Amino acid sequence: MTEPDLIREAQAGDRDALIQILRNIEKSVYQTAFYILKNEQDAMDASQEALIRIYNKINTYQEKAKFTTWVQRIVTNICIDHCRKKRETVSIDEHSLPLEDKANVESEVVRIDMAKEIKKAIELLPDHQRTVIILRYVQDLSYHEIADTLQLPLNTVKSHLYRARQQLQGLLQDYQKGGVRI
Amino acid sequence: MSCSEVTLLMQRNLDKDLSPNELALLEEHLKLCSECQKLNESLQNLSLELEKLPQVEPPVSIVDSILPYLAVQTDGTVAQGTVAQDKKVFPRIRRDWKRYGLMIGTAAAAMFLAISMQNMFSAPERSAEMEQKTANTADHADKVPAVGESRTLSADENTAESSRVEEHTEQSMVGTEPRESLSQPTMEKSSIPNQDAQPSILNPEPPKVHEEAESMDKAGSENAMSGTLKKRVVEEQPLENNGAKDQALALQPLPEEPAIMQNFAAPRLAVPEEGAVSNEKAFKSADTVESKPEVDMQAAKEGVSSPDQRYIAAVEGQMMVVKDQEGKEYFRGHPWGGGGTVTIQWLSPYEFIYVIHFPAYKEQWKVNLPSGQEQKM
Repeated sequence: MTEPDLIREAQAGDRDALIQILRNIEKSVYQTAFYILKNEQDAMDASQEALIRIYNKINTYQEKAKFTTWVQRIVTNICIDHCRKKRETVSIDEHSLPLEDKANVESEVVRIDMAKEIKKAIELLPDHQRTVIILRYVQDLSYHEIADTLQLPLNTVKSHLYRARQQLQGLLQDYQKGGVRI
Repeated sequence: MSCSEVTLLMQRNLDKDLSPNELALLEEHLKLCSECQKLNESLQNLSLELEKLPQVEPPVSIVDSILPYLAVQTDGTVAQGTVAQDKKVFPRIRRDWKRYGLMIGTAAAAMFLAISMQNMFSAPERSAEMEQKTANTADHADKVPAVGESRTLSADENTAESSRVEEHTEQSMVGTEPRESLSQPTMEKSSIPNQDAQPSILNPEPPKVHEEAESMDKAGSENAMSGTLKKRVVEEQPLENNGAKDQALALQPLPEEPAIMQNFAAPRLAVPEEGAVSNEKAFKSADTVESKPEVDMQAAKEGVSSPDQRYIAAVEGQMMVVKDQEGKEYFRGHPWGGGGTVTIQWLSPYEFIYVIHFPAYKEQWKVNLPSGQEQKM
């Protein structure tokens, strides 16, 4: 059964179809949550919340939007909200931790692979830039789909994406310089 | 085209967002500008690496973890909106347990405190009630023409009654018992370890004490209720006859006693020796008094024992003295002069009347052992 068929069945009240949909999207939901929230436990929490919300709101989904976009909107909203709440409770000292990582990364760069460097660099990005990067590279969404997901203007999405890549490039250059120096 | 404009084309190119013309312009500039060429290579590498980000997976199935919380309608269809809140299931459960644990702990502490306070405040009330009851019973016995009409107790019955009193007193000391011990015979119950009083307090069994007062030999009668509760029921049960009344009184633990009567606790628990009970020359029981109301001084000097054979009221010199079987003194009354004879009548195990028969008149005194007082009547 295709995704549109499953969705129709689920919206008609077929619980098994809805559960199947949840199983199909579970991994992508978790990936987004994991990269935005930076840790497994928070990602699990956000994923559960997102899947429950999808379960409850399946009838509100309209086929004119891409289902993946609709799902990612739900999970990113939850994650960004989570980040916002967490930021309100996190002290300035904790905010400065990434900078300490950046300072220490010069000695670590030769020991860790590129994927870990990029992951660390992504974690240093502001929330919206990080979210856009995740939607673009992990979920493989287009500008329009990202804009639809985040309900942001297209140019704003492009701006977030370009700035994010520039910042990542700068961070990774620092890492590489450190590695070369060592 | 400036380098900054080319940088934007580089970014858009990463997302396959350039038209053929824009792509041609970018390639042309890169051939001429080494700095932009380096930057473009760097961005291309970054984008390639971003596309290779690891595909993380949840450690456990999230859907399986939330399935129990997804409501189902009776027909098997989805119950829309029945999961009230889009909250995290695992954390919520954990946090709820913390909260409920705290609530349960608080409730338990409050209940414990309430029970403790109830016991604290009710104990003196019960004592006061018992004292009042004792006084009322004594008064009642006084009005009934029962002087000398006390029930006749054989030595064996006395022993059995003493055992019962001992057992009952022990129960009251032990406290309460679990409801599971309903079928436990009476004699075994005192060996049941003390347990939480809450079930008995919350779910008291119907009172059976009246039956017990009527039939003391029913060893297996229901005694599941707590000793405290039983004491209260004993007090509240109407007594149908003097015999039952005496037995019920015997069952009652003594109220809060003055210092002198606190010494009674240990002897009261002891079962009197049969030899001492049956020795009519040494101790004259109430029935002896009944058959011989006029007790001469000699007999009074030998003493008249209480119904439970624990205390002996006797005349020493010209004064009423009460001792236990071992000779320990518990009461000493006022001295009188002028000779005369004395008759003694026990009203209860710890209250008696003595009459001093002078040649021209007589004086009647009532002695209450718990209070250590005597009162002229």
